[in-house]
Order: sequence, then C-alpha cells, then structure tokens
Amino acid sequence: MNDSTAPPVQPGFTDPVHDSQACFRAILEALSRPGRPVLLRALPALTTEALGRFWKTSRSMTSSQLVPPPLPPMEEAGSCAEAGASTRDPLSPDLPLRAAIAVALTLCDADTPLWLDPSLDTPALRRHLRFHCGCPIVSRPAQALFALIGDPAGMPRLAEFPAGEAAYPDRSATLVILADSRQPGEGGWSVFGPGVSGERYPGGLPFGVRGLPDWFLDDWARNHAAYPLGVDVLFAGAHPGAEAAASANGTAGTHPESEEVASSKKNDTAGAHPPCAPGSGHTEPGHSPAAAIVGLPRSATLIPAPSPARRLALDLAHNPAQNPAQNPAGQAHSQSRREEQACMSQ
Amino acid sequence: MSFHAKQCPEATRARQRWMRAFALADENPLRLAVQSLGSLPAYSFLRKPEAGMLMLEARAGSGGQRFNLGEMLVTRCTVSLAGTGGDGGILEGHAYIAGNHPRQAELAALLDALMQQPEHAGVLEDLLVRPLLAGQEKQRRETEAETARTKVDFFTLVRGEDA
Repeated sequence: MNDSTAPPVQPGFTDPVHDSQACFRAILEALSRPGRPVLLRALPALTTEALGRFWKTSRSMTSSQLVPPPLPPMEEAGSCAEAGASTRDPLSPDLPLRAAIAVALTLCDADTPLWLDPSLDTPALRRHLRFHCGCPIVSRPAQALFALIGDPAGMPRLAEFPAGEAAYPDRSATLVILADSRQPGEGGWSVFGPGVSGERYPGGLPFGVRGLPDWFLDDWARNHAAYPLGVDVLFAGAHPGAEAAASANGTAGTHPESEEVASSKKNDTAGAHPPCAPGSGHTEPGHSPAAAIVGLPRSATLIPAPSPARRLALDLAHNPAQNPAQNPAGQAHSQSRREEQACMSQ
Repeated sequence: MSFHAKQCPEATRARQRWMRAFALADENPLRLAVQSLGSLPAYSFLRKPEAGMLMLEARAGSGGQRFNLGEMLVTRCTVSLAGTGGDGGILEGHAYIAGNHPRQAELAALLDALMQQPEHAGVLEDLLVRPLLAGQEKQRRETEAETARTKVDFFTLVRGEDA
C-alpha cells in the first residue's frame, strides 16, 4: 500500500475496547429513551485541525444557494452543521462531528455500508473510517445502513434511505445527524413513544434540533407510520446541560433534561455525571460542553409541541389536585417542574 | 506474486518485500535491530497491536467462485512516525503478522515506518532485511528439499491401455 499521497489517518478511540463499549451503552440508552440527551463519555482523540480536514469547505459555494439562508453563526461549536461550512469557525472544538465519528467507530464494520453526505465526503474522513471501521463507503443513500449527515438542511428525504423489508426490518438505515441539540426547546416539537413516560410528560417530551429541514416532521410521521419498518436517527451534538448550567436556568419552558443536568451538577460537586450517562469513560475532566447524542428511533412519534397553555392544561389534568385558582399559572408550572426534578434526581 | 509484480509500482513492491521479511521473522532480530539504531523518532499508535480472526477467501483454480477457506489468527498494528516523511508529513507503518504476536507486530510496524525514511532505510536493509530474507529463503529451500524427497512421480506408471 503506497499512501504517500493519501491524507494521514487520525487516531481512533484511545482505548478501543472500553471506549467503544461505553459509546455503545450510550447509544442503547439514547435509542431506548427518545429525546433525551445522553452524554458520550469517550470521544476519539481528534485535533481540531484533523477535524477541519473532514469537512468539505468548498461545499458552501454550491449548497448555500439550495439551502435556506443559514442561521446567524453562534459563538461556539455545534453551529457548524446548520450554519454551513462557510460560516463555521475552523478553530472551534467540533463536538458534533467528534460524537458522530465516535458512533461510527462503535457501530460500523465491514458489513455496514456507510454513506457520507456531501459536506463530509472528504478523502480524509473516508480514509479515517475505512482504516478504523473497515466499512464500505457507498455513493447513494439507498445502499447505506449508516449515514453521517453534516448538513441537515440539505439532507436527503428519509424515504431515500433503506427502511428494511417486512421479513427483515433490521435491514434499515441509521442516520447520524450532526445537529445542535443544546437548546432542545428551539424546534418546538414533542416526542411520544416507548421510552418516554406518559405520566411524567403528558404533553410529550419537549424536543427540537436546530437546522433540520422543514419537511422533517412530515417525513418522520411517514417513517413512524411504517413501523416496524423505517429509519432510526441519532442526533450528535453538544450536551445541553453545560449550556443550561451556564445560563440562568429559571427560564420558563426550559427543557427538563437541561434542568436536571444543571441541578445535578450543582448538587454534585464531586463531578458525577447525570444518571442518563452510564458506564465509565475516558473523557478528560473539565472538558465541557461535553458531546451528547439524542436518539429518535422509528418507534417514536414526533408532533409539534403544544402551546404553553395547552401544556399547563395537560399538567393540571395529570395532577388535578393542584388548583389553578390558588396557584397562579406560572407557579403551578414551576411546581410540577420541581416535582419532576425530584423524581429524576432520585 | 506474479500478479503483484505486474500491477504494482516499484515502491510498493519494495515495501511488500520488507514487510514480508518482518512478518515472517522472529521477534528477536527485529528488537535487536531497533535497539541498534539508538535514538529513534517518537512514534504513536494509530492502532495498537490487536489480534483477531481473518476469514481467508479463495477461488478454486484462481478463477472459480469465491469461497471461505478458513479463519486465521492475525495480529495487526499501525504506528505513525512524526516528522520526516517525504513531504515533511507523517509516515505510517503497518504490520500484519500471523498468530498472536503483539510485540512483533509493533516492532514490524515501526520498522516499516523507519524503512520509509532514507536515513534509516540503508542501515536496516543491510542489517536486517537482507539477512532475514536470506535466512527465510534458506529455510524455504530446506523445506522444499525435504518435501521433494517424498515426491512420487506418477508419470512413470504405465496404465497398460496402449499395450
């Protein structure tokens, strides 16, 4: 093999066996609890320079005309996916991509054809994945069992990926979408389904990912209707907890997960991670915001989030002992939030 | 081998030659050669030595359907050598060794990377590669000679149909 012209291979997991086990556990957790951010404790040791080579920077020339105008660039990592490569700060730590590569290193092997979307289809990333996973890299979404999507706004429709066959529903694709999940309230959706407690979240678990195309909700409804066929989605991004802890966490409508993480961080000065992140990993201490994945399996239903008034009505219907006459609306809301936290921190 | 001789460029064939020498060698001569070089450039693992099973596939008569011949235990390792590549880049050394020999795989991968550096290639060629290949060739001839003694030449048998 003469690789004098090929881009150099970057290192994978520091401790391949245990790191991929920790990552596998996190993926299981994410897929069994839709909409909940799960910390990735072990990430491949990739420098920002190496990650920069994984992005196709020339992409912005063609695709910026096709995609809706990019959101204003944000100050930190994670915005790259939807802000487009042109506005991406190449020096920022690229947590979503590192998380997505961790998932690929954990799940992909010679039996799982992988599709890279145009923004990530670079020689450096192809070689990296071929070397560490040995997975074939295919040119069409229909051939893929896994897909890494760096530009959600320009992603193919969900129906273009294999949904499996009636006899083999497992022959379906898993999409790893790089997205900013730090502020899950933004998208204004709710998740229902197995793994989301109907008692705790009568209005569904608030959920949202920035930068997804407009058709995503409709396509997801079709995807879910085809159950047990259909694709599964993992969103790779930065953990919202770190952001929420930094900002004031009293904002009404803040994602309960964020509050949970924030409160657990406050209470737990020993640095223990929130309960949704199992296993022991090898992340560098003090390395925040940490990467996280959010699962959206085909069994999950996605609907537009109910309005705040409807949410309150649902909360009250769920807990009729509370009298809105005695408790002003806002207090009733925060009361139930505190109960949620109490339940979850146990 | 004849396929590779036709298809591969000169540099690739040269590399195959020394990689083969390291893969078939014992661990000791590799270790002694590395030690004799003295100060070495720093290297890091892209893939630590790991043993696993490889499925060997073959074609009947080299043209038929592909079938699984059997599994084989292989240790592989990849190191990267900072600095003095051809274009100042990073050199990679790979090794695939039959059996479970993590230490040998690491040495062979390191030596593969060093052989790509002009300042080490000459020394290693004289000190290690040539003696290894000569020894391996001698071994092969001895085995062949031993096998040849037991060979039965069926062409001397007359079946009697022409009589």
